[in-house]
Amino acid sequence: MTSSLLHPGMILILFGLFIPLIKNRLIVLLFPIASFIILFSLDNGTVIKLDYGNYELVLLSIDKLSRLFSYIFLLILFATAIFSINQDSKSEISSAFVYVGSSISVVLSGDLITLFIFWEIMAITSTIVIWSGSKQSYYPGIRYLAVHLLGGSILLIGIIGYANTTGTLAFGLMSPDNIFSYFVLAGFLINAGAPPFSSWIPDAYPSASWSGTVFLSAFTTKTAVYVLIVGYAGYQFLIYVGIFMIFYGIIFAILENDMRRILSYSIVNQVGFMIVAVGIGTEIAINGASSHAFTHIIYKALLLMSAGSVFYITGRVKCTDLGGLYKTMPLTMICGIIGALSISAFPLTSGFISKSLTVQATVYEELKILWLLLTMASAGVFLHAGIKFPWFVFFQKDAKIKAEDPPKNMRFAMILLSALCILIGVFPGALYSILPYDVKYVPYTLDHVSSQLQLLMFSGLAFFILLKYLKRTLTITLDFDWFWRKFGVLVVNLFDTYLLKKAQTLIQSIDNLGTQTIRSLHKHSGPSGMLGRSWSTGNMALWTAILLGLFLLFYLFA
Amino acid sequence: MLNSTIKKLWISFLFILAILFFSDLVIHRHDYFGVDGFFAFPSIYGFLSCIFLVFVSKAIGIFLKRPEDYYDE
Repeated sequence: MTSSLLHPGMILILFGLFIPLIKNRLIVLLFPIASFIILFSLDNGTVIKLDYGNYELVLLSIDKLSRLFSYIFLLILFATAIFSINQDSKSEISSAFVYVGSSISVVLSGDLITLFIFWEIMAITSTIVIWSGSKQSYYPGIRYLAVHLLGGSILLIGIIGYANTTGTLAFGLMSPDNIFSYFVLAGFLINAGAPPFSSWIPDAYPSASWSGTVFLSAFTTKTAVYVLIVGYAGYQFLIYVGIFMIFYGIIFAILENDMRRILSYSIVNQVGFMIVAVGIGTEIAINGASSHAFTHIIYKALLLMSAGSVFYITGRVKCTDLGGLYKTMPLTMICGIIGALSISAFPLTSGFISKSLTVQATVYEELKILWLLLTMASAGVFLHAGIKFPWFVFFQKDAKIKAEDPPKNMRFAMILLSALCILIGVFPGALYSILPYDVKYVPYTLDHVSSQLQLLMFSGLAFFILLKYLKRTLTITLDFDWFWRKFGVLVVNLFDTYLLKKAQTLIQSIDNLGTQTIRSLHKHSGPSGMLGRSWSTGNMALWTAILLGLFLLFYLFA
Repeated sequence: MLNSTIKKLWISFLFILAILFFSDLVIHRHDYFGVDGFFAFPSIYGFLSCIFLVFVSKAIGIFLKRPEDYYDE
């Protein structure tokens, strides 16, 4: 029992529950550090087990991959905790810590039941993070929760079926012959933002507070990437899912006006890259997926901190309302651009040394079409996130907004992550050494750098040439969620107004028929009815005689 | 003043583009699939990809774009 208290994830959950009681928010920063020390002291191969009936629960099982994901989760929790010191909502910070603690517990879990329990805690606590945003967060939060509870139910069906048919709860590579593997897969994919449920990301994340969105961006989708790596590496079907997500993200981000929604679509796009890598499933591809998850968490948090700072200071989120902030928010702009260059995989940034592994994996497997698609998508990432975000927010027109860089804790958090983006990009060896497999790949060759620069700079040229087609409009873009937000409502209304009325008329007429029948029965057979009232003896004798006479006649002639 | 800055930025941008485009003359790019060995392939492919993606999204936008208050009850 003492040992399970020293679980790096569960201890964060415990800490998180006490946050509302803590006055000095700097103390909160110690929690991720404490969790990090515990994790650091545990060797690979450490396990904590618990007997549970016929099954054995593995609360903690550490290997290179789960360690990598736990480290990055703790790092980003630490940075975002600094960023959000001036966030007054205690429910947001507290639930965010429980949320991150359960994400780490999912990553460290060794069996499907433990995984499921923390998976569900993640869904609930992240919903509270969303609800802590504002009054407008209520309905997006409900839709978010509904999608995740649906995903959770599908996952549970899969886990129960899988445990029953295989007799094991251990979580490792899932058997492709077992039908329940695919229920588990569907549950995982819903959390990854796969179609047709991708819209929960751009719907829910931007409705959280300026700091809540940063918390949300890192954990749910990347936990899903982790479990997909463990359970479904090499499932080819995932390549198609990933490609869809990549292009969905680009196209919807191009059409979007809200800067935080642009960055949310771009999460779907980036997770798409990782899922393609999981689908390829070779050692270099898995290294690609995990290093991309690692670097993506940093630069996406940085981008959302930059956008969050703009929202915090100006209260605006739409590209059409923003512009020209480079003069008043220079540091926010520089950090935003470093994040944008990293997501676009510019040489000397973290994106360059991580995404290249996935692209290289397609070369080794001789997947020409896939290589062409991923290269096109790399150009598209620069287009929709790399230039579009900084251009419309910080340059474009001068929107004449009174603004200044945010408070120093927020500036510090952004500088910290910017430095990491560049350090990882300049010294890739450190990240490569903690990846699950040995890395032989060398990202910095003259050949590769020149190809990447050509690709990106000419995408930049295309952006400025097409600028008038990229002008933002006050619109949203319909997604699959139309089916439950509009079509579903139409169906309910149809039942409510048309069919219900029909049904009511029908019920009324049945009712009327019943009443009339009873009435006529009452009329004829009631106390004063012809058939019901009492008759005199004479009448009775007469009628009996008539009946007997008729009976006699029938008998005679029949 | 501002216009002249923008002009200078454009000139230096085009200059960098030209260097990158013709860098293929000096740098031997390794080709894996044949097509990528084409002269200045990344430049051309990146440029055309972006144009393609923007027009695809415009086309999709025709059908799927709605006013912001579309979902408001």
